[in-house]
Amino acid sequence: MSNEKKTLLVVKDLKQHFPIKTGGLLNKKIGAIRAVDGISFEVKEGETLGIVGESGCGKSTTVRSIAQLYRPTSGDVIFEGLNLCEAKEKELVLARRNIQMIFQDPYASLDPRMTVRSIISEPLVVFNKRGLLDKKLTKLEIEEEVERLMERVGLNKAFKNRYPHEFSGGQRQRIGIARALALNPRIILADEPVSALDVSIQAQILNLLNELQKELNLTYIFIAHDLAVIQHISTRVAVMYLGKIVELADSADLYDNPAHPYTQALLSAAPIPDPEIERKRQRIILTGDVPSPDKIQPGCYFQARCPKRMPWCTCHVPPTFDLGNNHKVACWLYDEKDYSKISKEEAQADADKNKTEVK
Amino acid sequence: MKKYFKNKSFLFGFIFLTFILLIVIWGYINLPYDINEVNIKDKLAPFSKEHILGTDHLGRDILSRIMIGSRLSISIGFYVVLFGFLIGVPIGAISGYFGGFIDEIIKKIIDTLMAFPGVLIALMLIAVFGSTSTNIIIALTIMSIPRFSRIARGGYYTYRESPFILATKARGASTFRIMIIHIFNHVYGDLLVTASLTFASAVLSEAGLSYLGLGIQPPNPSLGKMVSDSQAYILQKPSYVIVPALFIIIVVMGFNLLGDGINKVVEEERENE
Repeated sequence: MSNEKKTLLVVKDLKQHFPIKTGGLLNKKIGAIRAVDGISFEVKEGETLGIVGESGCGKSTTVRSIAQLYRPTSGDVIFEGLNLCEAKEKELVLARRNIQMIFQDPYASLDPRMTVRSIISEPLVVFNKRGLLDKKLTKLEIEEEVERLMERVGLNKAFKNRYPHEFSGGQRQRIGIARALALNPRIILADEPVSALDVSIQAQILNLLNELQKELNLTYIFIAHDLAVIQHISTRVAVMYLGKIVELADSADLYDNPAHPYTQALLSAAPIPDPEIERKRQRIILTGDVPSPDKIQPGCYFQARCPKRMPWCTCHVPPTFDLGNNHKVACWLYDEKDYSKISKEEAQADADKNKTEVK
Repeated sequence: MKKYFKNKSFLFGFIFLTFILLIVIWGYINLPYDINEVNIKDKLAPFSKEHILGTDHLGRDILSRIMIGSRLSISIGFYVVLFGFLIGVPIGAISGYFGGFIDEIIKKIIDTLMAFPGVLIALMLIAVFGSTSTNIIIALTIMSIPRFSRIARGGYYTYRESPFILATKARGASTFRIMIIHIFNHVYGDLLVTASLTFASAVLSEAGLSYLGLGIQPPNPSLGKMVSDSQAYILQKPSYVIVPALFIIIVVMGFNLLGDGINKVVEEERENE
């Protein structure tokens, strides 16, 4: 069914490297943090793509790069035929009308000096001034629109002259959502919109997002580190590790048959809300830490912690294998060839050979 | 505004400055005597009905001279703050917001300016171009630019990466709009404090220069010049020294207290957010 739907956003080999500089007068570049290191995916109209991964794996940077808040180092983000990475300022502003963000921290992402009215009307005012809306709005129309948006996200419109600090976390996140909806976007990039909230509030916000999606035919890219949240809201899920997507599959498929050892470990770590099953739950415990993203790894990025590591993995970066049924995984276990019997020396020799060939 | 008046420093600063302002306005409306009207017979007269603050060594009315002197001091302070603000803040804002190479260059220039003793610049300028009020304003403005640009740079640097500014950017606001409206909204408090303190130090510097005879030239009255003129008569008529000195203190302290008060309120507000 998803094949019939239009592809809305294509991300191709997106890379975002933050330079490490020595500082001082010469300010030499001595390395780079590879926050996002070559990820590709497509987003179809009306779907919700969930992105999961542990802290520091580049989830937030990914969506910020898509929104061009940080200009990507390389790669393409194509939205409706327009490559945002090469777009001019003017085209980008027009595209931003359709790509809006909801931020993680409802406390920091709302300007404490602005009233709710000015926060929600800000995008309208900006686009109105530049004459980029379908028709010019008067002050009164903007006012009405703000009230409509506030009611839509479940805020009392009488609160529009209040400041953000007068609201609770959940209410603030509703303000953030209203602000994102103001321009009638096609796609919303939600950067951990619920992780700063209480569990009960999380459910409310998730339901609100679900309702809005149905009503306005929105597309979401939804980041979370909570697997239950992702399962609840996503149609497809991408698992990220150290700036790369290790597995991408339809939500149900991913939760039923996790392919990548990292995904398996993640899923086994999630508690199950049933004490009977929970007691029998087998956890795959990962050892070690996420390696520093400032070095280029010769092999699989996960190999240092992988319970199913083979000698081959230490020196060969896995490509993405298609398991069919829209399930993609970046792990050597799923290649047609069996690498488990190849010894370390052979693997190393093969890697060296490839290197010289490339040279 | 209520928050400001609850603060004692602000309140006292405000009272001091209102007092000075009333004196200056009174001078505009009804100057008691011509400031250059010499009356040797009446020299060094004590406080009286005719001469409320007495007369100086040439028999000129001290109150009238103070009215005009304060007016000059305050207008010099005002222009220094105005130009310092208009030049310093954009420089600092660009430096802080864009960072990188521009920031490095601007920072070095500002550091150089700061390392230079301000009075020395003023002395040089005045020695070369003569001591007109324009030159005093130029000299003091050069001294005040680093103050403004440093504060502005700090503010813009802090807020440029803050989540709500990123959010605004994602909403399609232009860089110009972000700088002028969104970030300025957060740094204007600090800049107001700087403006107030700069005002105080400009008035003080002007008084200092005039005291040395490099500032406003006679026959125009200046508070600093009055203090230096009256020194010779300190035993005959102490009030001749004390009165202009007191006025300098009131202006300087008024602005300092005002600045402190604003600073307190701004900090409190920041904590409440």
